[in-house]
Amino acid sequence: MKFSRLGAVAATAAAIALVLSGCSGSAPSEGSDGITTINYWSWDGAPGKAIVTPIIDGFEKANPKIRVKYTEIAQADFRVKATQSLGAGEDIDVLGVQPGAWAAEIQDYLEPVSAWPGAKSLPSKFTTQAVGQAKRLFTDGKLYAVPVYSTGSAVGVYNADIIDDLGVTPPTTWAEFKTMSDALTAQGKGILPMTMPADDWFQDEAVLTAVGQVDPEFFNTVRYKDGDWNTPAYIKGLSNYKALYDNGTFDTATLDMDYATAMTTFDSGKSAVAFNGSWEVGRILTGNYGIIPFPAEKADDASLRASLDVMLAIPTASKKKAAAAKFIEYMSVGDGVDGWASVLKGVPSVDGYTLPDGVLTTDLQKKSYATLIDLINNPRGDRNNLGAFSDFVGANVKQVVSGTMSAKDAAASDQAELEKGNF
Amino acid sequence: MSQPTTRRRRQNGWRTALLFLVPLLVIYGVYYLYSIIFLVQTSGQRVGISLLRPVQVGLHNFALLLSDPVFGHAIVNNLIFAAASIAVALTIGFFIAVSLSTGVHGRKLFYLVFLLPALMPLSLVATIFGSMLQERFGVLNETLRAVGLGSLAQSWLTTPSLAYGAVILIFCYLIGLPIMYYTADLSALPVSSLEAALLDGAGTFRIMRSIIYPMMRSTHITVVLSLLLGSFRALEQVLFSTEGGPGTTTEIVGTYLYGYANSSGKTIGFAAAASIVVLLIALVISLVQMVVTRAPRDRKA
Repeated sequence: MKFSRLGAVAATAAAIALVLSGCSGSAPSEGSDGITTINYWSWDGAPGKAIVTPIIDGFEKANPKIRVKYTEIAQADFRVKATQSLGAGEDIDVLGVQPGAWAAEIQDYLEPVSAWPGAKSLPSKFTTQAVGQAKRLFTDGKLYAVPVYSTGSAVGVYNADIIDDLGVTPPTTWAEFKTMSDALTAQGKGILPMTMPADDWFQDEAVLTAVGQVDPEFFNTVRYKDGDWNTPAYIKGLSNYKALYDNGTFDTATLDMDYATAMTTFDSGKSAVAFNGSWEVGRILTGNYGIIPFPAEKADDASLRASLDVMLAIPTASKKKAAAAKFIEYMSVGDGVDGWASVLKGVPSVDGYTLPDGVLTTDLQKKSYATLIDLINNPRGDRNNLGAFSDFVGANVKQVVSGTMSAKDAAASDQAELEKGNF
Repeated sequence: MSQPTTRRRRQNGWRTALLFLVPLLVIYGVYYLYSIIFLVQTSGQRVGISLLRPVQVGLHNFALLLSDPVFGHAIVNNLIFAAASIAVALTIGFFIAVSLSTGVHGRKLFYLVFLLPALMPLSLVATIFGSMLQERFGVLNETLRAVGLGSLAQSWLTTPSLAYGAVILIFCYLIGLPIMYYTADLSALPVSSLEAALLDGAGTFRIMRSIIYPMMRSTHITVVLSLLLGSFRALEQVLFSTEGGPGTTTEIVGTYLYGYANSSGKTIGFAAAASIVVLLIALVISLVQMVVTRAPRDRKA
C-alpha cells in the first residue's frame, strides 16, 4: 500500500492534536474587568441548585466584584468526580465536602481553614459541637472545611391527613405504630403504614437508629474507638427491627422499594409515614405533614444519629482563596444561611441561629421543627458511615428481616467484614 | 529497480504506516496499557479514591479477595447467568432468526421488536424490570391482583430464588444481538444444501436441526463466547434491578467491583485486585475464542 505525503502529514497532525488535547491551561484569577469568578462545586441536594441559585444571586449583589459559577454533580458520582478533578488540578475554588471517610481522603488537597484569607474568626461563629465533629473527620484534628449544616437519620415524616382520618395519634412508640398499622389495615384503602428506602445503606441507618435506642454509644465506639460490631446491643437492636416486620407494624412489601419509589409512594398518599434522613423533612412546609422519630419501645428512647451533612472547603490549588472564603462565609454563617435553612435542608451549624419569621406558620410545622431540633441536638451517635461496609451491613439486615439469616449470624458476618480492614 | 531503492521505499512505507497508527497506539497506550499497569500497581496497595498516601500491602488484597466467598459466588453467578442467556440464544434466538429469514410478513417489524431491547440503555431496561416486579405497586403483581390471581403475587425481588430468576430473565431478554449474528450468517449459507434437503423431502424442523444448525457452528461459537465475555462486563442488569440482592444472591463481579470502587474508604486497591482477577478470566475466555475460531488451515500449520 502506498501512502501519500499529504496522508503522512495528516496522520502526524492528528497524533500531535491528540496529545495536545489532554493539556489545558489554567483559568486567569481575575478578569480584565476586575471581576473574579470562583468555581463552586457541590452535589445535588447539598442544598441543591434550586436553593443555591438565589443565594448566589444575593451574594453577587452584595459583592459586585465576585461571580460564582456553580457546578452540581449527582450525589452518587460526586466523590469520584470531585477527587479525580482535584487530582487533575481542575479550577475549583469552593468545594462541597461530604463528611465521612471521604473528607480525610481528600484532606491533602484542601487548604486549612486557619490559612484562609480574611477568615481567622470564622470557626468561632459555629457551634462547638459542629467544629468538633468537623475536626474529627480529618486525620490530624485540624479544620480543613467549615461545617454548614447537620442532618440526622432515621426520622419520619407523616401524612397528617391520613393520621387524622384514622383518628390515631402520630406514633412514636412501637405500640402506637402497631395501632396505626392495624387501623390502616382495617380501613382497607391499601395505604401502607410506612415506606423507607430499601437501599442497603439506608437499611443500615435504620437499624443503627434502632440500636442507638438500646446503646447510645454503640456507633461512636465502633467508629472512633475500634469497638466491635458484634455486640449484644447490636443484635438486640437488629432483632427489635425485625420484630417490627414480623408483627405487622411495618410491611415487608416495602423491602424492594428504592429511595425514589419509597418517597414517591409517600408523596402520592399511599403511605402514612416515610422514614428517611432529615434532609427530606422540608415537605412539612409544603404539605400537611409532621415529623416523628423512628419508633422506640419507650418514647424517651426515640432518637437518631446525626452529624454534619455538608461542609465547604477551599482547595489548596485555588488561586482565588480570598473570594472563595468570602462566599463560604456568606453561605455558612452569613446572609446566605436563611436561603437553605428556610427550606429545612438541615440544622445550621452557625451558633445561635433561629429561623426567620414566617417560615413556620402552622402549629404542626412549629411542633415538628422543635422535634427535629431536639433529635438532632441530642443524637445517639455520629452519622459518619463506613462506605461499602454500610452496604454490606444493610444487605445482611434485609436477609434478617426476610428470615434467611439470624440477627446473631448477621452481626457475626458484619464483624468479620469489619475486621478485614477494607474500609 | 535497484535493491537500495526498493529497501528505501519499503522503509518509507513503514514509517508512513506507523504515522497513521500512532493515534490509535496512543489511545491504546493510555486506555489499555496504562490502565493495566495502574491496576497492577494499585492492586498491591491499600489506598482510597484520591490515590494519596498509598500503603503497600503486597498480595494482601488478593488474599482477601480469594478468601471472600462473595467474590467466588459472584463469579459463579456470572457463569450461570451467561449459561442461561447462551441456552436461550442457541435455541430460541436461533429459531427466531431462521424463522424471520424465511421471508415471513412483517419481518422488519419483528426484527425491530427483538432488537430494540438490546439497543436500549441497559440501565433503563433493568430499572423498568425492577419497577414492574415490585411487590406492592409493581405492574405484574397489580395485574395479578386485578384479575383475581392475587395469590400468585410474589416478592419477586426479595425472595432469593425469584430474584435470581428475574435477573436471568433480564439477561435473556437481550436476545436481539444473537439474533443479529445468526441473521447475518444465515445469508451466507450455501443454498444448494437446503435445496437438496427439500428435494429429498425433509421438513422445516428437520432442515433447521440437521442442516442449518450444524452449518452455523462458527456462529454458535461466536454467540457463546460473546455472551460469556459480555456477562463479565455486565453491571446495569443487576445494579438497577436487584442491586445484587437479596443479600448477595444475585451479586455479579460487576456489582461487586462497583461497590468497592465507589466506597469512600480505602478500597481502591482491593477493587483493582478484583479487576485483575476478572481481567485474567476474560483473557482466558478470549484465548479460548482465538483457538476455537482459528481457521482449520492455520490449526494444521
